[in-house]
Amino acid sequence: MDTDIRGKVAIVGIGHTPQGELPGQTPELNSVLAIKEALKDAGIDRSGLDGLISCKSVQNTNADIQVGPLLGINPRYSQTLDYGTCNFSIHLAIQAIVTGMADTIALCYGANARSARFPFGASSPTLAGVSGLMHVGGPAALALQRYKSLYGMTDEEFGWIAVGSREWAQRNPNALFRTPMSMEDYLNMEYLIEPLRRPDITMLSDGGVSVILTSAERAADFPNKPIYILGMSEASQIRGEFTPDYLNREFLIGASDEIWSKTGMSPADIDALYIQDPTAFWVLQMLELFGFASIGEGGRWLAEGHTRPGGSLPLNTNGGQLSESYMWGWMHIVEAVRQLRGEAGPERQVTGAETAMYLSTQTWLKGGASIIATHRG
Amino acid sequence: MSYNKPVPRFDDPDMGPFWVAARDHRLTAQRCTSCSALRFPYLPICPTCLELGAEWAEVSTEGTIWSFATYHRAFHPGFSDDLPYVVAIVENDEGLRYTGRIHGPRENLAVGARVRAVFVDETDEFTLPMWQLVG
Repeated sequence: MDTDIRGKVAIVGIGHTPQGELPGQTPELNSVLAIKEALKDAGIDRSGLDGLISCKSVQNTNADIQVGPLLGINPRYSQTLDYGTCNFSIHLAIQAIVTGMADTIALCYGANARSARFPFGASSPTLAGVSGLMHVGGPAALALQRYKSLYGMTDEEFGWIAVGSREWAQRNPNALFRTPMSMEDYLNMEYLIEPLRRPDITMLSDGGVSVILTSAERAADFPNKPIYILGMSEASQIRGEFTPDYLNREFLIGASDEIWSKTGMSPADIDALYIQDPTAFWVLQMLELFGFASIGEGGRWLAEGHTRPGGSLPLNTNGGQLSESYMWGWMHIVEAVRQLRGEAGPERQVTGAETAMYLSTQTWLKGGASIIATHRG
Repeated sequence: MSYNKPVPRFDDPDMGPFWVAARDHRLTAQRCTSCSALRFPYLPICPTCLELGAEWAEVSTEGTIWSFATYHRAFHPGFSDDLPYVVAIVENDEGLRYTGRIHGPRENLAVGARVRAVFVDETDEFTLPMWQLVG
């Protein structure tokens, strides 16, 4: 059976709403406004879509049957994923397109977590909750403290993720957090959930994002340079906290091994890297687990400046969720496409970028990876 | 002053027995009646052998810190008087993981440090198992 998806599907449209605070706009409305932008970018009318994959918002809304009435179409293929980060949505779209269940699919995400005052730090009356473990920063701080104890990483080494994100965000007019933040500024900030500081943890914001995919054959008819998917992989740890050491997220090695072996590529082939970043420590883990830095060496590697503007492996050139906006990783893939099209603007365009990788996770439960490129591989 | 932090439900058929035992200053976990595997928190089936029967059993109150995190901000107003407070994942000597509060000074906390459960009566009916450094 031919299971190679290399170069068979392409991203032909990207779109998003303004990011920030959009009072009065529901997640579904933000989704549809983003699809409208993506259709414009792709140069097609909504009648050109025969598939929709919606991603539930962090607030558990934005199902396809809630988006449908606003979008005004009944595509033959329609699905909802309860967790997106866009990676899982892209993978599902590829599966639908290569099997002929749909030709051209719009993926969408929408949220209004900020204006709706979503209780991000809420806890349930479990033992952990009544003990005060709250916010995704709590588990990440636990994992980071253990890592620091095992490998001796300094706060300054770790701080380069947040500081580097801010440096990139200053070059991105879409970014919400653009105030300069030096390493000294970072180190002078107090801990929020020690050893995490505020800039190490995602912001909350409203918005919508959409990506349109089609088959490589059809992609040639679209106005933009097609961005092809060369490889994809996933891994799960759905036993969650019943998996010992679950916060180390070592299950991601499975997704790493799979995507490198299937594509025959290696970290040296990646021109720009995107890692969904609810917390900076999840980024450090994924840098190591996907082979960009050796296990335990990620901090020292970051301090060498590879991921910062001008470095050899630009990371989250949009500013990520730490500095651009909180779209559950969806703006990362938008930025990756912009970079590969050469449309990122003079301040942050990565010269000659041909291949990008996107890594994302649902906390410690699932992970996904995609490699996209300007060529079919 | 009334207790304004989250409180577990003692009449919860799943986790209630754990909290009732904690009130008696006992640390418990479910033990499978078929394969004797221990599990915590509550699951309605044994994930080791997929058999249904289980009983709540007393387990070791000694363990080591897997890791810990110090909260300098309260994400729930009830915790603001506790700041800074420490939450740890503790592996007890039977290999069970409990996520709970550290009781006492935090100066000598370390990954791998030995701890023992202490039972802190938060209200007349609610006792919270916490962990305290040994020695």
